[in-house]
Amino acid sequence: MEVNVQFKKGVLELCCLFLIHKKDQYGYELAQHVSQYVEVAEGAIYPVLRRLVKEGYCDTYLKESTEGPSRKYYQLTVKGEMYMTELMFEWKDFVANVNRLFVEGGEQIG
Amino acid sequence: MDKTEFLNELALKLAGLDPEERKEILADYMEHFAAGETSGKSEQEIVFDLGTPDEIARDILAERGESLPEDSYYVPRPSQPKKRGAGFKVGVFLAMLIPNLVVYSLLLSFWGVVAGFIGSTVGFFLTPFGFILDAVLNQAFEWYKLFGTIGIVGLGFIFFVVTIWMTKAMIIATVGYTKFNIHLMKGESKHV
Repeated sequence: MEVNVQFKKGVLELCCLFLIHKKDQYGYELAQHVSQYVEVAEGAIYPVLRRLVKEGYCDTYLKESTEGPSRKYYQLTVKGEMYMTELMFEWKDFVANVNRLFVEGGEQIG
Repeated sequence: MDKTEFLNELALKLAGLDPEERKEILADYMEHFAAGETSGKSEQEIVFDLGTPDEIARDILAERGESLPEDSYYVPRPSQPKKRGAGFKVGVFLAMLIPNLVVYSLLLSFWGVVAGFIGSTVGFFLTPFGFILDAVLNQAFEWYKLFGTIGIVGLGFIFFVVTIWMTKAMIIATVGYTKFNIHLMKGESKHV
């Protein structure tokens, strides 16, 4: 399924924010959770995470794992929580409007 | 392609980056491989799921060259200069406090009216049952009661239509005003 890459990237950011908001997670885990639902190259998640950290929406901390080396966990900052809420709102609005366009079939077009 | 080949190619493609940053990025992917292997995947499988180093590198480099591919994101990114700070939001909140109290109280009382109408409608529609009960229990069938009941049911239909219309109008008003408030707080245009 070849969907517009930029479009996917934007959605990917929202998915990551939402999943991290549900529970702090490490990169691999997050990649699995996203690709469970959305067809995506898992490697694309890390640049997104880096940007979220850089812009102050996420923090990271290291935590020992039972199997092997410690892992980098991602958690939302307060700013990130607010940003996520806002994006969710925009996203739902956006999707609802596009769906309405499909249903109404652009009847306003003369 | 195995893990070593993947990481080498990625490192090569990111040669232009600051060494510190390159190391961090590669560390993220190494951790990904480690976690994947722990869960029993082969290196080839993990590489397949990751996508090509070329794609990833282009992703990262696009970030850098402040050409901001973000402009083509359809998700609104908060534009820094226009972003309203917490102080501003508090200001908006305080300024809107009184109007909000007034408007929401009004909305609430209108909802009360709507609830009254709903109650009346239900009552009107229940009248025939009362009529039947009365006729059966009291053995008293009165023509004037029958016509009265028919009249009241007719009234019920009128109330029903009015109630639906009022409920719709109230939902639109309530949702619309709330949305307006949210946008005021966020301080940005609705258009993506």
